[in-house]
Amino acid sequence: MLKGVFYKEYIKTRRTLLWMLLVLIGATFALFLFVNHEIEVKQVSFFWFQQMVSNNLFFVWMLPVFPLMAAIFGVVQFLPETIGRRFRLSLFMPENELVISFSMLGFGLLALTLLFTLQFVVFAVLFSGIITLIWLLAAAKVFVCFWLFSFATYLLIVLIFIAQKTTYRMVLAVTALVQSSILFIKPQLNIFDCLIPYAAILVMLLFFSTSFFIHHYKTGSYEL
Amino acid sequence: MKNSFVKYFGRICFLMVLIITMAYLMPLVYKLMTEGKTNVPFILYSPDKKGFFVIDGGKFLDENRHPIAKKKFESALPLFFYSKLLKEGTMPDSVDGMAVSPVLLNTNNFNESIYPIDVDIVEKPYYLLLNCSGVNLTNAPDFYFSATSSFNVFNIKLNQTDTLLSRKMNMAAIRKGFVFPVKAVYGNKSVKMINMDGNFFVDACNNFFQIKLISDSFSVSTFPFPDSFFRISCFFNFDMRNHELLGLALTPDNQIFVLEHGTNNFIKIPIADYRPNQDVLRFSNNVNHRTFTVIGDTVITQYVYNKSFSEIARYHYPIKRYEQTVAGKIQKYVFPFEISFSSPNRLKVSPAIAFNFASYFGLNLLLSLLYYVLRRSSSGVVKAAVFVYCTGLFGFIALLVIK
Amino acid sequence: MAVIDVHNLSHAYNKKPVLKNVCFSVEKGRILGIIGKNGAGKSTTINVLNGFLFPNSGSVKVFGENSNELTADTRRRIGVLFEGHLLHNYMTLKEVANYTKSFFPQWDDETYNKLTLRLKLLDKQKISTLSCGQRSQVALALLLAQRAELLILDDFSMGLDPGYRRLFVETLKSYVQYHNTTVLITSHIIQDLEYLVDDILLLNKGEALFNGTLTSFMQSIARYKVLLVEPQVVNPEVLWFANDVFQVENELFILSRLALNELLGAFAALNIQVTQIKSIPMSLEDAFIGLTGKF
Repeated sequence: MLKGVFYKEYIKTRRTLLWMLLVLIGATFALFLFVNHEIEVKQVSFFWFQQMVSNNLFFVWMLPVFPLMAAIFGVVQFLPETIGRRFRLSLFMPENELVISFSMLGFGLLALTLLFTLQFVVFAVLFSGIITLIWLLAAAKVFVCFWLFSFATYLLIVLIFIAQKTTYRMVLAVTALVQSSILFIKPQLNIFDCLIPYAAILVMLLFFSTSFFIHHYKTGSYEL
Repeated sequence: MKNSFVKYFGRICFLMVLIITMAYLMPLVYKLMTEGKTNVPFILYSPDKKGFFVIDGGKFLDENRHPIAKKKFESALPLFFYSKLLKEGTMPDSVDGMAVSPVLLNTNNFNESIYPIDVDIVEKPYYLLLNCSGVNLTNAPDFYFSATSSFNVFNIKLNQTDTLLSRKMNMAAIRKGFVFPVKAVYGNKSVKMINMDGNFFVDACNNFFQIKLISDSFSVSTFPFPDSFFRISCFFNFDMRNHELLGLALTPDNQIFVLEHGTNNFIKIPIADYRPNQDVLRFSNNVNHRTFTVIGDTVITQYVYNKSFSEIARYHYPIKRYEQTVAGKIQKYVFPFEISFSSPNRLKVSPAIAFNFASYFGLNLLLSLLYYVLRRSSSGVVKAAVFVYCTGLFGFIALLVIK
Repeated sequence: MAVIDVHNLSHAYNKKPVLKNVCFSVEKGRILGIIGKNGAGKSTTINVLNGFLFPNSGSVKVFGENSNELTADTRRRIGVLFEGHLLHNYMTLKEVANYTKSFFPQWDDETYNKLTLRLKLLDKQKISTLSCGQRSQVALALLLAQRAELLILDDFSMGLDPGYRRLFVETLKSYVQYHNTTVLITSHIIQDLEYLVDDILLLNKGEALFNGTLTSFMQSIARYKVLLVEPQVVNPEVLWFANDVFQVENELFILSRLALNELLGAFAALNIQVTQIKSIPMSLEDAFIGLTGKF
């Protein structure tokens, strides 16, 4: 069963996944070239001083890419389900509809995690000559925090597609905007640590909220 | 897993998401709409006139809150407005019987503010290791160190750990009785390129150390504690040009101590009402006196001490915070709780929840009854009304959205 | 035990009733055609049967289980064709088969290949590039290869030309007969159903007007040609016994539930002189229009 759902989701998103990976790795390379140029011009000591003391993180500009990618992935995965109400086709497969929908979301979260992890590996390899492992681990927390918020964005986008009422869609869109705005309060190293549990709770709540929308999808939203 | 349970659980989850979002957004928008620009009044002590003067919202006031002319205000505070008075040629030669000169004033004038964010020390992967030999660095420094189970000095120019310097630092520390792992690292808040004081540490046995890199060797100092129960929860190193004080220490029970340069003694400042996690503490040093100003929620208290920390004067200036305005009071009754992630003076991204219990005796009750009346025919209305009572306006709106 | 058992099914959209106390059942191996005009409640019935709508009242059982709580095992026994031959358009012919196969252990590759091969399409061809007719054949192939015991087909004829419609009906008919499959089918093209169904459920404005075998349905109403003695315009509203009246000069074509001799008496009672009343052949569509009217 899981194989079937994952197969369908893979077919739907394989091209998007590929170009997303290319964009993420491309952006990481661009960042690497930019940092190298900065180091050449300003010297490595100044670069470090910026990172350590001024908290002027060099990778900050690429962080919004994660929620953006997650939102696009959500659209690519669930727009085809919405056209012609094809979601009925997916849900009527011989399996519990909640298991089916949770598996679809599971695929999305797994694919995004894989994508983001690959990006981080490339990031770590490229910057291993400039930053140390300890610093990289501290930076990883900022990445993880953005990943979690990206997952929340993805889930909110998916819920917008599953929700059958305009009111729900509007409420979800506002929620997505509000939750994403939290990320841009002050993107600095270390200060995101305490946001990780919050983001994790948000992702969990949104994941299980799906069952409410699936229930609503089935109980009366279907109009002739 | 029962389908009905999962669906019910899903509904609760969605409700929670909505409530969390509203509890963050609604008070924030309300505050932005109703909060005017508020400047914290600035209090100054005049040793000459033996009185206090205040700048509040652009107005110049005496200690009885009577407005006075700007010229009179400035001339009453020569230690503060000395450069302006010098330009105007009205600077007196002596203040409170003490001869003053621009150089003397410049060396002695020092201000430092400690905000709640500063008290909340964040562990960093690396700390700056500045050379304290007095050389003014023109470029960014080359050395950083990590402080965990040992010190590791990292040379960024070579992109590798400087084993020799690391060993020197560790040996110097151990020789003076430093016990690893490091509990806390404190440095100079302003991170100036010229740093004469190095870094301060609390070791595993709660002892306090100062470690300075001078040329290529380390100098380690220890400080005798006033008593065996003394602990440091936070330390702020000062960058005073007259080198009178090394810094200011806070204890776990919110006592303020200053660390004297030379004697290496901790001197207790008898201020009892300072709450480091909420209040702002301003320290200013002048040629003949020192002031500590505690900016609290409802009052600003300034304590004036002489050079040997004997109290000269004390002044309370009541302030009206947003919470005391009509809009602020309404907020307490409307929103049962508020989630915040950052505040203007606490430059920190961290989720925090604050409850307004006043709403539980007013609006929550009303909304709960209103919900019961509106939905009395639907099943589970009592449960939902209790939910509205607990979550107030947020739960009421969320339940209306989700039928 | 009936494969489908619907008892007192009622449903309303925003307090507007669409189904009113509808009762019917489908026995194993029978083909039930639900006919009715637009808005009669056909799709609502299908949605309730599929579990996509919770009815306001009544009980709907499929294989003895409530339709909105069908277990995975029961769903595995049901093949559903959604209105408009809904398929995952972004998949190729091979991918859609692989995907569906993973859910149905009794999947029959041979049936799927046989039906799709005759379309002379490539495995790599995407469903979105197929014509409506070709898509209907792929949908049918997917449905039949599932080896389902119950097939629910919602408006299978939608958008199909006569050729593809005939192909669909013939393929379905031969499969169903061979495998003794139970079918519930709706269509706007009633003549297709005449060839296919055993039983008829006629829905009109949410109510079941007729529920029985096709033969009894066809016998419940007859088409007559009435020759009037002299040319005169007959007001159709006075002919209380006629469901559909069409007049050409002195010839009246009517559909009526009355028998021939009863009809003669009825005309006489209305003082309309007739020379001859003749029963003429009638299609299912005639009977449907006769019973429900043209609009």
